[in-house]
Amino acid sequence: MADMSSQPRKWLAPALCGLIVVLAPLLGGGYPNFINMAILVGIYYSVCIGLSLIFGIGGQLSLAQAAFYGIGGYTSALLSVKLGVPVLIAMLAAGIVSGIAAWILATPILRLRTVYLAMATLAFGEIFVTIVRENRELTGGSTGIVNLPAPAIGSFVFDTPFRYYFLVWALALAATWIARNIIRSRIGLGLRALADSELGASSCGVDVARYKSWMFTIGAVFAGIGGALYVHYLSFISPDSFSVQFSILMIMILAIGGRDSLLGAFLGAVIVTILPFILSGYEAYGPLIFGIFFIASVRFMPSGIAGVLRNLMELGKPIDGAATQKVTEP
Amino acid sequence: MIVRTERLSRRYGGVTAVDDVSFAVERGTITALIGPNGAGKTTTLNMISGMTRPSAGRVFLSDTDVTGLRPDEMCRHKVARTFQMPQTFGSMTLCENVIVGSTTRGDSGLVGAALSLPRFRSREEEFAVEARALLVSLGIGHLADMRTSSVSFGTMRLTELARALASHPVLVLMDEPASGLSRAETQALRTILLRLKSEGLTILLVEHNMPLIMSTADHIHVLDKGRLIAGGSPQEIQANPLVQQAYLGLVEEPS
Amino acid sequence: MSSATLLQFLFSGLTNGALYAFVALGFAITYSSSGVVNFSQGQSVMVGGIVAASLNTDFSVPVLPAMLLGVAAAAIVGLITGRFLILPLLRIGEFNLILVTLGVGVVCEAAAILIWGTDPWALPSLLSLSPLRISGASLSVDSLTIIGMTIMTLVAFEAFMRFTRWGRAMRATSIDRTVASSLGINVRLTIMLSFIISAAFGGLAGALLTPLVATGAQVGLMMTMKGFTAAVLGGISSPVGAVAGGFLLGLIEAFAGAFVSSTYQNSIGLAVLIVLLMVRPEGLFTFALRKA
Repeated sequence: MADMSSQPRKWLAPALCGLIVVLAPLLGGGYPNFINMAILVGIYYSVCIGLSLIFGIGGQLSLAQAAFYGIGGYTSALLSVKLGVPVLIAMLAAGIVSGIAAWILATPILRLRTVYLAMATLAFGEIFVTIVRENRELTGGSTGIVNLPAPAIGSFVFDTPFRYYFLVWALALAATWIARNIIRSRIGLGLRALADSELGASSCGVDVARYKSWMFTIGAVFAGIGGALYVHYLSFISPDSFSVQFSILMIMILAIGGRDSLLGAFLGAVIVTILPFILSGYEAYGPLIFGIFFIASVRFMPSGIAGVLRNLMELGKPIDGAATQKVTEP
Repeated sequence: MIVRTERLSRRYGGVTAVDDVSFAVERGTITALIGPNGAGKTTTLNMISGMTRPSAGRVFLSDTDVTGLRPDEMCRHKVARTFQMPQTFGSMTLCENVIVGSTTRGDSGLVGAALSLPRFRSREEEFAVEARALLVSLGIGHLADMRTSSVSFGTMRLTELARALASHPVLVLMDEPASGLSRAETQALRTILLRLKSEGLTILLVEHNMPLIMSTADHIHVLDKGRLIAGGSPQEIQANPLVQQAYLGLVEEPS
Repeated sequence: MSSATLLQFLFSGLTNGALYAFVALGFAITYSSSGVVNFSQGQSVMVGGIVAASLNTDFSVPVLPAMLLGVAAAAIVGLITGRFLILPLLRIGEFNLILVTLGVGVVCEAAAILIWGTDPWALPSLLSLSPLRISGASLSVDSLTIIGMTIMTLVAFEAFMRFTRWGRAMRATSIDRTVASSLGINVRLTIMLSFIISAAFGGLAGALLTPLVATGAQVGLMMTMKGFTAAVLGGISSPVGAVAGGFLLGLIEAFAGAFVSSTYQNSIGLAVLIVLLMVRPEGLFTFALRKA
């Protein structure tokens, strides 16, 4: 809430998160795949933070997130491979280019009603993949581009999983901080207001179109940087990672984890990453199980797992202020 | 004169909801817009607040032509409104609802929010404090942290009013603020309206509740079938035969 | 460009158009009765095609019975969707219903990949006749079949709506659910029926298509998008409009392929969707979009 501001406690949560991030590899390093999964969780989480601003808090069902993820990935890949731009700068450019693409698309497309917005963004995502596949000389087509360079600061190169983990999570924490600031501000309140009652929000001075565009753009920036992080981690890029199925997957992540909170984005990212691991031997059933989980979440847990946790915690609080005045009919 | 309509009209296909309506609202008064159901009162209010585009005519705010501006732009011009069905934000607390009302004040810049700059933060805290004070002044301060979806209808109405006041408007448009309220709540509303007027606010309200109007309004305009048929003080309107005819058979019971 | 090539594009456009028309018809039917836009509509095409092909290939079922069983399989998917996932959830709001149907689509695709893999499955022709030759262009019998079946299905459906009790019930439900219910119509059953019928239509299209173009487990989403484009073109609440929209989309794509670029044929179809939604979402042929 925007009016909560106890000074000492304000630094507790971020410090705690930072501590967990630093300690995690030491605790979990024993598990064979831990660092790899932690990196993927960090990337998915960052991209889903962006989507949660658009979808969870803003209430816009955008299925174009994978396209911005891809625009970011290809921007960074092409800049670093073909123009020799230092990777970290290329990643930044990736975010900016995705943001610009989103800003241009936002105004015409965000006017559309729910169903139409979903379909239009779906179509956009599909068109993006086709353009990538058909332009071999530029993007490497369906086979993609290999040997992408690793990011570096001076002579310090992030070429081990351990180092990459810290890069990813440093950015993920930064994204968390920015998103949290926005959500807690009046702009965040305005967004939630928008989702509850566009009419009411508009009459309060909320410029509906502009707020939607802002969130769409920020979400795309996060997706773009996430995409860049992903491809340089694999040091390989191909259009298969940016299909519309991935856009739908991200929506599923948020629906299961909790669409209107950062914790939800995190939980969802964790679940989707460790699911194949849990199902070892039966990974092929992963997509099916995740899909069923998704439908169940929408039906039974509209606020996702994070919402369930929140409700459990609120059960402990006393109910203050009785709102039991009777209403008489005119 | 604070707001003035000039030959305002609204047509929907073959139906004319509002026909050539021209009236003015004087600064610092409580003005009521009354009329039988379907007279076009809400549509007129919608055209002033920017929710509906007029088919013809103009709306002036102190000599500035504000015809066709969006609701959020009207809010920037210091015109706030409440709705017949309260458009409160159910998932947020009362306090948060009111804070949204202050969106047009201060810096709502994205960069300041995203980076949580100190100057930005302290302003936000001010708005939060002010929001609570507004709720207290309307008698619901003790419910400030309750979820709006779980409070009573009357409290929702007051929250919506507090939210409207948070934008520091010069003119507040209210659409049937007394509908759905108990007798006690209506009395409280009357007290609030008179207090707001004494603080310099101008209020234009659409209402059916005659006793409330008679005891609160300084000036009344009467609409019937989309046309303005009368205007004057409460006493003049009560005695006006045209008005009585329009309301024949539709006399409101005092609530 | 020679007239033969042009004619060839025309035929392929009509064939694709027939396919889109079936899916669009499905959208129109379920939207009219329940107000839901079914994001898994295209999966019925996939189910019909793949079940038919698999029965024929793995179990040596002859083509015609295989196709009928494919349609039945699609209809069952429609039944399950309608009965267990749509009816109980009509109250959760449009937004969440879209998510649910998206989920159904994901589950269908995931299950199909598990069962049949990602490679396409083919069916032999229904009738082993050589293609017709018209002015240098060839029109396969399968194409003719699917185009013909589209028209016949539309006519049959319109007759069903007009002359049978269930059809009239569906029409009443599509106009106003509350009024229909007060007239004694079992609205729930009607909605379920609409999902079964629209899935069956999709399955029929899938089965008829598979001799022409092998069906893979992942075609569902694209079919949904194309079918929706066609439905919007024609006006999403009107069956006749939907079919007209389908053929129109097929022709637009075909001629875009002929005169602009054949690699981007698909994308042009999708671009039509985006432009259409921004400019005239009510469609070209109808005038009122019913609220859900």
